[in-house]
Formats: sequence, structure tokens, C-alpha cells
Amino acid sequence: MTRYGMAIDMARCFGCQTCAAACKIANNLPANLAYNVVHTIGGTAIDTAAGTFPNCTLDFRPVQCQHCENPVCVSVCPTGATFQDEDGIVGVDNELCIGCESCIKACPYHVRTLLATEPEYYLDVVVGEFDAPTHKTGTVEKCTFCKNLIDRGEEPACMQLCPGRARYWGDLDDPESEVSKAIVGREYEFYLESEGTKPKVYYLK
Amino acid sequence: MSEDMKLMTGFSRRNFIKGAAVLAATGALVGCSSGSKELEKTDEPAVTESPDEIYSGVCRGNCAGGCFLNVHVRDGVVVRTTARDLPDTRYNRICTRGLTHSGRIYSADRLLYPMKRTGERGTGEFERISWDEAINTIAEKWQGLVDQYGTEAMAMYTGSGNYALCSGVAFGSAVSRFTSIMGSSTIPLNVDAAVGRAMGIIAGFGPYGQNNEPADFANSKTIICWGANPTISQPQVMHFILEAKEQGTKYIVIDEIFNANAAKADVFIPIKASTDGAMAFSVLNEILTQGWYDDEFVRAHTNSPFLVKESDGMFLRMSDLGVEPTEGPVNPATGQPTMIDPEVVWDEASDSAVVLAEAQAPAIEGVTEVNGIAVKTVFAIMKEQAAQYPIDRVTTITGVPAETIKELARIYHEEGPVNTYTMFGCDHYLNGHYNYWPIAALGICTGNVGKPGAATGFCELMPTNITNFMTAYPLDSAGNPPKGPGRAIVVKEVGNVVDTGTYVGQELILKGVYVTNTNPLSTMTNRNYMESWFKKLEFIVVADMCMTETATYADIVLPAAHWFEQVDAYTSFGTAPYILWQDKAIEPVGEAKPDFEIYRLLCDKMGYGEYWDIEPEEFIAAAIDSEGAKALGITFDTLKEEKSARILPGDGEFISFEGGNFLTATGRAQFYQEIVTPDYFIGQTIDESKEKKPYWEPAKYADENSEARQGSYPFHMLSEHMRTRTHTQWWECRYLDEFTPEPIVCINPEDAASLSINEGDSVKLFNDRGFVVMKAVLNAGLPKGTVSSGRSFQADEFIDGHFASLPSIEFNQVCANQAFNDVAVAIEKI
Repeated sequence: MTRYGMAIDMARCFGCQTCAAACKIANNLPANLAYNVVHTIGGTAIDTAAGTFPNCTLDFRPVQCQHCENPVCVSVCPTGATFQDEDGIVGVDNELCIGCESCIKACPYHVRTLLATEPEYYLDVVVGEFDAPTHKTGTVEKCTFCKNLIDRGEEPACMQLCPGRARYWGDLDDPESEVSKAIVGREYEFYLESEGTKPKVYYLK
Repeated sequence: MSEDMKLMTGFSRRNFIKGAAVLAATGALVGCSSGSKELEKTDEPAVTESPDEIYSGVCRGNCAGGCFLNVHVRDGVVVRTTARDLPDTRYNRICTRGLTHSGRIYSADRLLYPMKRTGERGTGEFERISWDEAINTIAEKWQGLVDQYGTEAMAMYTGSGNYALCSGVAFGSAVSRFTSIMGSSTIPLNVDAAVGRAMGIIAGFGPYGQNNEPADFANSKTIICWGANPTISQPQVMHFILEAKEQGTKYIVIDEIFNANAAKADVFIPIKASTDGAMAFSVLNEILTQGWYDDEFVRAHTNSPFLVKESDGMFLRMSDLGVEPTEGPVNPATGQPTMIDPEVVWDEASDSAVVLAEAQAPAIEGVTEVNGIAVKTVFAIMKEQAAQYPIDRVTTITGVPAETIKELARIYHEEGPVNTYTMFGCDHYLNGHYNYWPIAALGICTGNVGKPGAATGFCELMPTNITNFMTAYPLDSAGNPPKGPGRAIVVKEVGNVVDTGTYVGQELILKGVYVTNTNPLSTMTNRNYMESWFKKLEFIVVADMCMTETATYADIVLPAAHWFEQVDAYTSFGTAPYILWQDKAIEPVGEAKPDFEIYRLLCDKMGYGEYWDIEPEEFIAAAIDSEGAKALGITFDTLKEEKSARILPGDGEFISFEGGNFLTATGRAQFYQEIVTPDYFIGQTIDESKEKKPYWEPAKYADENSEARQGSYPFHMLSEHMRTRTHTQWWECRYLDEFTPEPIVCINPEDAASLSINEGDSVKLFNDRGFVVMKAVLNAGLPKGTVSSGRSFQADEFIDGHFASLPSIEFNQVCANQAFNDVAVAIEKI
């Protein structure tokens, strides 16, 4: 069985936003829609530290859909629009989605966005992969694990090149996959593990 | 299934037709006939291949990246950019900027056609004109100025916006040829000069000295990142550092502020602004006092044994001992024989004064007199300089505890190999180069240079020997070279030249500028001064991709092609050791033209067409026709075919100054220089006692005891690079606004509280030169008394005023530099 997952090495991530920008373009995301954001764990604003100088801390946590084993978004969806594939990827069928926001309220990770109004684009041209997700008004969107790319043997956009070499991706059921090898012997945590969602993004300490 | 089969089954019928047209157009359709049969199969799930064409591209602003890209093109549109494999994939690289070129190419702020100004300078009122009108207007005006005032009446003002040969400002690029043809004066960049001055003198390798290539970092036992923030400024280097750290390398960060880089450090050493030279001296003093220096290395690889005469500060030479100089080879520049008068050292083996080459054991200390001439060794002089910085004094100056200084000394002595990683953190101050000579001396005295894991200096890899600079001097049909460039006017004097028509006492009438690959009204210091002389000029041409702040002051704006809209080559100004090829991936958007073609149009119109009878690929071929490139096996054909070539000898882990061989006249690193050559000379008085030997003094404005900070302007204002812009480039890319939507100033929470400033409040920063208003953000990473802001915003992005109005455009007595960070301000809540 294929079970896609990801590992992100917190000791390697330095908050450069490259994964977020890669996602933005590859998926032709409209203005103010992000599937992948990099949280600052420090002060309240991006890239600011916590503590009292010089005893400060500053860390980063890239966050996208965690493609949970136990996706609460799937169970609350009234139309079956949110589903989980056999490979573990949680998707949204925007033909079925009615934009009720049940999933947004249920998801603890704040990685789902309702396109409440007609999406606005920064450019007059369409960019991204030719089969990037369509962005349909009145539906909910989130990270697809770049299913279009992985189905043809490529990597998710956020994985293509992390400057910190902090990201690993692949089949968690394959011990030879990069993600499986990255996890071996490492301490890790799941984001908001207490929610019981069983996320498949491992945050390596 | 073979790879070819897989590829072919990947096409659905409809996409195959579309894809075939695209692939056929690029000549890449391989195995079509055999694959076609596979298309008939319907029992496998249809996996659709991307129809995108892939071209080779280079992201090449002045960010130290030099990223090799795949440019994905669909229906003539750049739809995506991804990292392209370099021969050594450890160097693969891309960031927010390389990923969002589509946001620049198709930006609403892109210049699509030539325009002429219709309103006041700076208001941005323009109307569209044709290329013919633009070129005719420029040629007519330019020629008129030349006829009336000479060729230097127009200055070429170039920056660091693009390190390519045809479109940019790489060594030996087309703009050098254009400048040479026009005989224009030039306005040099005058930035980042303190590092070059100090490292260039000490190591003899201009412009900046050089670290080992990043692949070597894992060989260091300790990396000391001194005044640099690779997490933001060199993100592509950071993984080498983090990987080294995982393997056990200790990572020490010395910085004024706590940032993402400090957060990755094993040890963070906070230091007061631009007091780094004092700390380096103190660590060096501790090392010299303890006898922890590398005696063998110092004797063999530095000019420490040279004897400096107390009478005139010059080296003792054989002529001082009565041996007449001999004639050497003829100097081609003067036509006269060179005079050989070698330096003398004291040989402890023979107990006599001999030329260095004959000394078996050159003394580095204890020599006070030779033949009745009072002397000191260079080493003794350096030791005296360091001795002025005992730990207790330096603790007060720097804020660094005594035990930390002692520990640093121990680390340099015992925890090597040490890589002292520097960039420009201590550079952008009026005392900048006084910080770097002691830092370099510290690395060299402890033998931490020229070995695996051991290096001291700047991290970009900039071999200057692969470019043929003669591209700037083409010959016409009669075999005559062009005029050659006119005088270079240091930027802080341009206003005076405009006002007085003189430069350094000689006539130089400046009436206009041609600006390309730079946005100086946003990026230079003292914006009000810059604007004042821009407004006085008769004629300004700006060629750029977008309507920059500087372009709004132009009389004629020319739409320059984007980097991917032309063939080009990047010759490296970054942290990966490669020269890279740029394919022409798309046609220029709108009526944009490559800079190379704009120069051709102007040359043709002004009667210099013979000098531009060359195509871009021919120019690239000529520019890399050099001994340096040949030695590395780089040819035009291999570059065009393979798209990349390594520019350092060997297959990896190049060690700078290996074996202690420095690029000075003596091959030795220098702790003393006899002749002081300033970066610029405009009649200023120079106190040579500060320049001949390592020396330090505090920053003029940023130092906590400065008149400014003790007076009306108590805060040190620090400007920082941004993750989303390269200088001001990408200001027009709306995607990146999502990460950095507006200018902000970061302030220590206690400082904010004392000024009643809350997060998000608008605050005014001001000093005698100017002011800016922006939002405040509380950041515990800043020490009290220091504020910081990104340096990459343009005028209309601030709530009011301009960040660039705050720093002074003064120069150090010998160093022509922009002191972006030597700034004191007051802050008030609006």
C-alpha cells in the first residue's frame, strides 16, 4: 500500500519561504490563497524572536494539510466532497463542495480556505502546471500533495528544492523511501497531536 | 517498459498532439514512431505528461545566489521555474525569488514600450512613444551634449542588477563595451568596499578575498559566522553550514542582533554595532600574548618578518644597506626597467640582515636596529596594535564578556580548523575596513586559512580570470579602438560635479546619465542628496524591466527585456562555482528589447555601428575566450551544450590560498602596507597611521558613544536584506508581497514600551538628513537601542518619507563605501 507522507526537519528549516512560494506558483494560486505557510515560532510577527535579548528563540514550522490518517475534515463533510484516497491523500472534489465551511471549522491546522468570492490573480497569464487545481468560487481548497505531479512521477512543488534540505517526502510504507529513511532514528513530533487526527507530516526535532 | 515507452504512454491523444507540436518545435521529439503504437493501448490508466518546454535559465541579481533554473514555458508563457541540476547537485538552488519570475515578467508594473516623461521628475507621468522616437531622441540629445561638453557629459550609471555578459554587469559585459565606445564618464557603485579594502590588502586578492567553496565547510571543526546572516542573505549556503553542524562542527554566530541565523548557532555572541574590529584585536592580543599563534605559518606565509623603518614607515630594503637596486624586466606600462630592491629581514640562523629569500629563520620579533637604522618587524607592529585592546577595555567597547573573548581565543587556537565566514555585516559603516583587517589577521595568525576546513573571508566565489576584458575594446574596420571610458565620479561627488562642472580640480561637465541595472534612488544612501542632483540633470535615460523609483525621474524610459527573454551567460558572482547559460526561453513581453540590442541601436544611430557588429552568442564566445577559461576546459561550445561549467579548479572543495599562497606581490599575507592607495582621491587629507597597519576606531554614527546617539538620535538603525527581494528587485512581484506586504521597523519590546509604541503603530524615524514613517513590529531579537528594517522598499511603499533618506553618503578617508548601517535615528509614535 502506498501511504504518502512528509517529514520536515525543524533543525534545518530557517524560514526562507521557498516551499510556500513554490506551492503558490505551481498551483497557480490566486491572491491571498496559500496551501503552505511557514509559521514563525517566536514573536508575533513573521521572523521575529521570542524571549529577552540576548536569550531568544526563533524557529519555523512549515504547515500545510497534514493528510491525516484520521481526517476530521472528511468525517464532517456533508456532501462527500472531502475524501481520502487509497494513497492517504486527503482531497476536495470541488464539484461536490458546497462551501459550507464545516471542514474549515473542524480542521485544527487552519490550512483550508474558502474561496468566498471570485478569485483574483496577480497576473493576466495563467501560470503553474497545466493541470494545476482549478480555483472555483464557493469551494474550499487546500494542499493536494500536488497529486497532479506525483501521479506522473514528479515531486510535490514544495519538495522540488528546499534550500535547507529540510523536507522529505514519499511513501511511509516503503522503508526505502526518502521520508521513511529521514524519520529513522530521529525524534519527531506531530503538530497538534492531541487533536487525534494522526497527521502524516513528521516534524523532526 | 522502456523510458521512451513510458514517456509516450504518458500522453493522452489530445495532449500528445499539443505536446508533439511543442516538442517538434524544440527538436526534442524522440522515438515518436515507435511510441505512437503505444498510444492505441487503452488498458493502462492515462498519465498525462506536462506539455511544458524546459529551458536553461539563470537567476542572477546581486544576491550571492546565481541559481541555475529550469524555465518552464507553455504556449510562449513562463509558467513555472524550478531548480535545475548543477553538475554537483549539492549546489542546486532556488528561493522565493527564483520561483516567482513569472510575477516579474508579467507584472502590471512591467515596462512594455518606450516612454517619455510628461510631468515633473519623480511624479511618474509618462506617455508612450515608439522605439524610433526613443532612440532618435536619446541619440540627438546625447550627441548634442557630447558636441557641447565632451563625451563625459553623459555618465553611465550601472549597478549590480544582473550578473550576465550581454544584459548585465558581469566582468567584461556588453555595458563595458558600450561605455568604452561612448567614452562616457561613469558613476561607480561604491558599495561593499570595506571588505575588499581590508581583505584585498591582506590577502592580495581583490575584490573581496575569498573563503573556501561551501562544499568544504564540513571539514571545519568550528565555523564562526562573523557579521553575516546566511539564513537570509545567502540561503543557498545555509544547508552546508547545517550539515556541517550535524556532523559535529561547532557553529558560532557573532552579530548585533538575534535572528534566524543566531537561532541556528551553538553559541550566539551579541556584539555592539561595528565594534567587531576591536573584538578581533582583543582575541588576537590574547592569542599573541599566550603564544597561541601559528608560528610556522606566520613566518612562512605573512610579511611579519619585514622590517619597517621608524624614520619613514617604509620597509628596510637592500638599498638601505648600501646595495644598489638592480634592473629587472622592462615594465610594459612605462617602457622602463623595473628596479629590484628587495626587502630585508633579520635571519636568526646567520644573525644577519639578508634578503628574505636567503633567510633560513627570519625573525618576526626582537629586531630593533639594523646597521644603525631603527626598525620594527611587521609582526611587532601588529602585536602593538593588538595590545591596545586588552580584554577589560574591549569588554566595555563591545559588550562581549571577558570569558567569551578568552574562549574565542582558545577556539581559534585549539578548535581548528576554523572557518571565519564573513560577508558585509561589518562593512557598511564608516569604520568598516577597520573591522576586517583585524578579523583577517586573526584567522591568518592562527593558521586558519588555506587548508581544508580553514578559511577566513568572504563566501562568494568570484574568479576574475575567466572573462576576457578586451571585449570592451573592439576595433573598427581601420583597426582603431573606441575612446575608452571616461573618468569615474564617486557617487558622493556627483552632486558637486553637476553644480561646479569640475571634479578634483579639473573640468568635468556632467549633464546626463544613462541608468541600467540599478535603482539608485532607492538603494543608495542619503536619498535627498541623490534626488537633488538627479533633478538638476538635463537628460536622464533609464533602461529597466519595470517602472522603478529611479525610472520615474527619467526623460526617456526604455523597456529592457527580462533575463529569460534573451540568450546570455552568467559568469558567477555567487556562492556556487559555476558559469551558467541562459537560453532565450520566450520572446520579450510587449516591445521590450534586450539591453544588448538597445546598445546596438544607440551605437548605430550615433555612428558607432562598426563597434557593435556582433551577435550575443559571438559576444559571449569572445568574453570567455580567456586563458583562465581555457585552463578550466571551458569553451563556448561546451557551455552552450552543457549549460553549466565549473569555474574553480578540481572537482570540489576548492581551498582558497591553499598552502598559504596569497596573491600579493610577495605571495605573503600582509599585516602592513607601505603605500596607502585610497579607493578614491578628491583631495582629502589621509591620516596614514590608520591605514598602514591594522587599526580600529568606532563607527561615526552607529557607535553607542557617538555624538549622534548620545545626542538627539539615540537609536542605531540597521538595514537588512529581505527574503523576498534582491535590493529592490522583485518589488514589482506581487506574489512576494504576501510574505512581506509592507515596510516595517523592528524594535526591542522594552524600547517600544518606553516610547509607548505598540505592535502595528505607525512610527517616524528621523535624523538630520531625512525621515521615514512605517509600521512598528516588536522583536525581542533586537537589543535595546537598535532598530532594524528591510532595505528594499521604494518611495511609494512607505507611509511617508524614505528609508534611504536616513544614512549619510560620507566616505571613510580611503574607502569609497555606502555606510548603510552607520546610522543613528530618533523614533516617535505618529
